[in-house]
Amino acid sequence: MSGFQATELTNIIEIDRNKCKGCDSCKAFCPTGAINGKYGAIHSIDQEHCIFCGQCLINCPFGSISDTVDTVDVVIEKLRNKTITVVAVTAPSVRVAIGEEFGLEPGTLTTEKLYGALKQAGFKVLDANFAADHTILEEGSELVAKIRHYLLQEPAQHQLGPLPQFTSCCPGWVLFAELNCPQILPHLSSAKSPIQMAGALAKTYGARQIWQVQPEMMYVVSIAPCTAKKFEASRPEFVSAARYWRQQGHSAVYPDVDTVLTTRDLARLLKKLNIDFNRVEPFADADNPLAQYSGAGTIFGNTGGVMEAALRTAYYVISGEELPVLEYTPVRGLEGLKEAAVAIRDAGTGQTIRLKVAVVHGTKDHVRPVVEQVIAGRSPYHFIEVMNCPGGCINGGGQPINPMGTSWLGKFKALLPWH
Amino acid sequence: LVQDRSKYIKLRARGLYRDDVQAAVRQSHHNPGLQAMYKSFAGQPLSQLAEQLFHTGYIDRTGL
Repeated sequence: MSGFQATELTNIIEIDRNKCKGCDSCKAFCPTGAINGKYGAIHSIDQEHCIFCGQCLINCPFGSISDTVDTVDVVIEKLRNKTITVVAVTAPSVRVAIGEEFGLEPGTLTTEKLYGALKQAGFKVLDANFAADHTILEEGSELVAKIRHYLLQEPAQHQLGPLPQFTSCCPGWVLFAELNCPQILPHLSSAKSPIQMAGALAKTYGARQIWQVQPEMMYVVSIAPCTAKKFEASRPEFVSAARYWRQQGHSAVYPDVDTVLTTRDLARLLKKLNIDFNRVEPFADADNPLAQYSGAGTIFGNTGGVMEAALRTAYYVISGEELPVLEYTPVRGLEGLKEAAVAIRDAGTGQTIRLKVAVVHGTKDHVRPVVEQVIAGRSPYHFIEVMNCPGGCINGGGQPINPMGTSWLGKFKALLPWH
Repeated sequence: LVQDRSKYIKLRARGLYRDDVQAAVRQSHHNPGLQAMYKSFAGQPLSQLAEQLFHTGYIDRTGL
């Protein structure tokens, strides 16, 4: 299929012809116009334009759309194989939504229950919130290097892309940019997404220093609110750990992230293993350095969360002081485009820079204009956070399908309160 | 009747902000486990090893 590389998973989202009522709700949510079918007729996904975000899936009033990639049984088999170290990389958004699959209110924070359930199932944990902190250090350093070079006119110590810098943690956004506006790609941070960093880290540092196991005897399972993550993990370039070990004489070939389970998939896995989430023994995993995370890391699941986390660190790195109020509210909330200007005094030169940032979510309505501004050379921003899904990853295509989110008003475009 | 589609989203977001407020460490640069990883493994952000393992490139798919 054109636009994709050989090993990549595609056709991840499909509409069931027998269940589709042709109500057009899905089209109201599709960011890339990748759904064919007139109102009243059976709809289908245009697989060459689909970015696998699953917005159609979680908003279909009839449950006619499904995620075709199901590796729950494969993971259970790996868990049962005691020679394999199975590592769960748990995204921030999972801990505030998995409870919904077991009768809890949306937003119930269930981290220790989640860890306990995963432990009972036989997983080790590398929390993606730890990896989020890791992403901030890598991407934040990249941003600071660009600030020092472009805004403070200092010579560059690394090869640097241009400003404005876009975040690169959203696989739907990355695929969207690659398919539709490749001119923007030099602006994307070179940092991998937290989960992909976690896979590479698990099979190198994790293998050698934390769990003391052979990397080829590890199986990394990303647990994500996101169907596009299934595509991301299959990208052929994400074999960094195997490449690292080949330089040291090993010969095995394997991906950094072996498979992805959505929040919904994980709930099914736990039910198959007869693990009652509500009764599970909570587990803090306090002795595990890879389960340690900061508040900045956990807010990655919210629109504006990556930006806020990055600002807390960029401010500190440049000024030598902590951001006076850590809750940076201008980048919070459900407005489609949020802007802020942060004054930061550079400790080295005494100069004050005004870092202009933007946060966009909802590719369908808000991302394109920001991208077009950058391509036209008119962007007022230095740093832009992009999340494909309205509200951020917490409302991703892999999350529990919430009945609070299913409304339909006949044949109209489903109204979103933030329009 | 239009239901408030954003209610569950706001509840989940609030859950994560609560996780932030009650965290012992609030900033990524103060994460002790992460500092230990850099010290004993990757060196510092943007090091050669970090570039190799934690950074990537992108693909113009319009030509594929």
